[in-house]
Amino acid sequence: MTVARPGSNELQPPASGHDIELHNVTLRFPRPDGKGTLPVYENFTLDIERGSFTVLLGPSGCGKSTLLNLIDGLLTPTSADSVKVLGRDVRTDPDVTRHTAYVFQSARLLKWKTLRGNVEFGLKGLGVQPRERWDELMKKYFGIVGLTDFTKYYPHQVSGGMQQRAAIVRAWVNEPQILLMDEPFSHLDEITAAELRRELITLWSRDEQRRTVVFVTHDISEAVQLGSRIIMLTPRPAEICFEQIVDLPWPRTDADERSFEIEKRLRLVFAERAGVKA
Amino acid sequence: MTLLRAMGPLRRPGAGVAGRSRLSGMLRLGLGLVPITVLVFLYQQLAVSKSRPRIFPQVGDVWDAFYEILIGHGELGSSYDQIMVTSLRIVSAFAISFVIGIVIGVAAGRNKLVFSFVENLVWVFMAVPSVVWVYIMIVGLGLNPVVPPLAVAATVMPQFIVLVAEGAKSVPDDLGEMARSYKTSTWQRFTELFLPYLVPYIIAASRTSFATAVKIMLVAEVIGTPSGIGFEVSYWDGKLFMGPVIAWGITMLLMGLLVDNFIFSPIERRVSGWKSKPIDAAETMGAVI
Ligand SMILES: Nc1ncnc2c1ncn2[C@@H]1O[C@H](COP(=O)(O)OP(=O)(O)O)[C@@H](O)[C@H]1O
Ligand SMILES: [Mg+2]
Repeated sequence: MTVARPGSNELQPPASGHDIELHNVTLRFPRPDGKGTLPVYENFTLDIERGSFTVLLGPSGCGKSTLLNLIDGLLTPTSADSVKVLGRDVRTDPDVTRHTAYVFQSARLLKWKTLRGNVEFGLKGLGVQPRERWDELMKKYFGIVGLTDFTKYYPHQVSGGMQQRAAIVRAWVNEPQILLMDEPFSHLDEITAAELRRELITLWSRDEQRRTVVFVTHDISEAVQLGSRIIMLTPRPAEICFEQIVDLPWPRTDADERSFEIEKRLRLVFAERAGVKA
Repeated sequence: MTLLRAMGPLRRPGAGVAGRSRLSGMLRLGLGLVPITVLVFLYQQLAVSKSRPRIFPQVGDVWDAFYEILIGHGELGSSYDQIMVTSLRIVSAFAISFVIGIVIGVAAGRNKLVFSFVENLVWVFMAVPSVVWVYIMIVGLGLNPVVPPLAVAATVMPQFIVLVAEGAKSVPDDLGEMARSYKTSTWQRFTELFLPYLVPYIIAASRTSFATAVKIMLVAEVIGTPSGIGFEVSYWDGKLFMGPVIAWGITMLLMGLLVDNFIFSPIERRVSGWKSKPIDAAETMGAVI
């Protein structure tokens, strides 16, 4: 099995320029008590441009994780005009999600495998060829996140920050076009989280052809620190209630006047629109 | 290095644990011997006071009977033949419950339909005493040598199924989701996620099942066959000689202990090696931090 590498024809951005296209997506979960359904999305539409760092900001339980699962093909919508990744619908063309990689809220490492073994688990699953490239890829990305000396450790032997770094390596190592990140730093202490945010931005901006990142958070200042575009969602059924392009260079800090302004505005809107519905 | 400062303290549960557990192992053994010694001593006092050596054999009499077993003597043929016969029966009973237990346990743990189908059956099997199985099977199969292993397997299997199903049910969904997200094949998920997760449950199930099998095989043999350790026990019991009865009981106990210590324990240590892996890179860490 061969998997197209970035730069091959297959990965040319779709004519629309949008790596992800969700059109009129409706998703309703059956309620646990069996009475009716829980509408999470009703006719939801969102396009995400290639190379953007899009942050989805929303109150917890509004459906952010669900959205990433839809994009990654882990969930099928109740109905939708399109759920497209790189111009191809994931429902009819599930293989296209080989170009997406997912970093979860918790590291989700296999505790009986070393950090290296966990990264290999992903490489093997994705069928990355040739196998000889694995070493070179792993060396590169373990190095970037500072785990070079820890690849033989088991997850329980390293800190939570290092576990999440390993999860980032597992996602990034195949150099996928699209990265889905679901509150990846929310379980970490603030200092570690800040450090990892910096590393993430460094990792992302290294590439001339930037990858498309969809980053989920409920933390407004994290959103402002990272996003090139911030999309705010309302509680269920989730709708886009506010959008903000953040045209500031990285790394950003709270001390910066302009990001502070943006953060303030977002906080106002968030309190007004995205707060819990009465 | 700023990168490393943010990583927080390294946890090193592996280091030192190996040494400590060896020490406490010795200690445990020593402590375990105390109540046994006390019991043996009290029994000896009782036996001496009764002075009826056939029904209350003294410790020395039991040892003599045990020595006979050790050197292979026996009124009913070589004691090693009996041990062999019984061991084979235990192993086949165990093998049957192992294979069927894993297959049904996994199926029940992964599939709600299978679970509800198997659930009541398991309860029924659990409730039926092994003795009853022996009688039922003797009615069906006559005094057949397959009766004891089958009866023991029927008794042991339910707990095997329950333990394995418990494990199969508890495989975390989020790991499965991660694996699907990385497009792993069903085979890779089975061998690298499902099975490693399940192995500790299978080992736990094997240990308890084997111990139970050893215990109840005696009962099954006493009723159901003219050979094996159970037959020896019923023979000596019939002659009102308790020395050999106790000695055979001890033999069986030792067989169980040997298997647990020299087969199950090493396997368990091997497969859960990652838990106590000492960190050889300790010096590296010192250098980096
Ligand atoms: N598999 C599921 N079955 C039923 N309901 C679900 C399922 N997954 C999520 N939900 C519900 O959908 C809503 C959105 O969940 P989620 O996407 O996890 O929210 P968040 O924005 O916090 O990530 C929640 O109310 C949750 O209870
Ligand atoms: Mg979530």
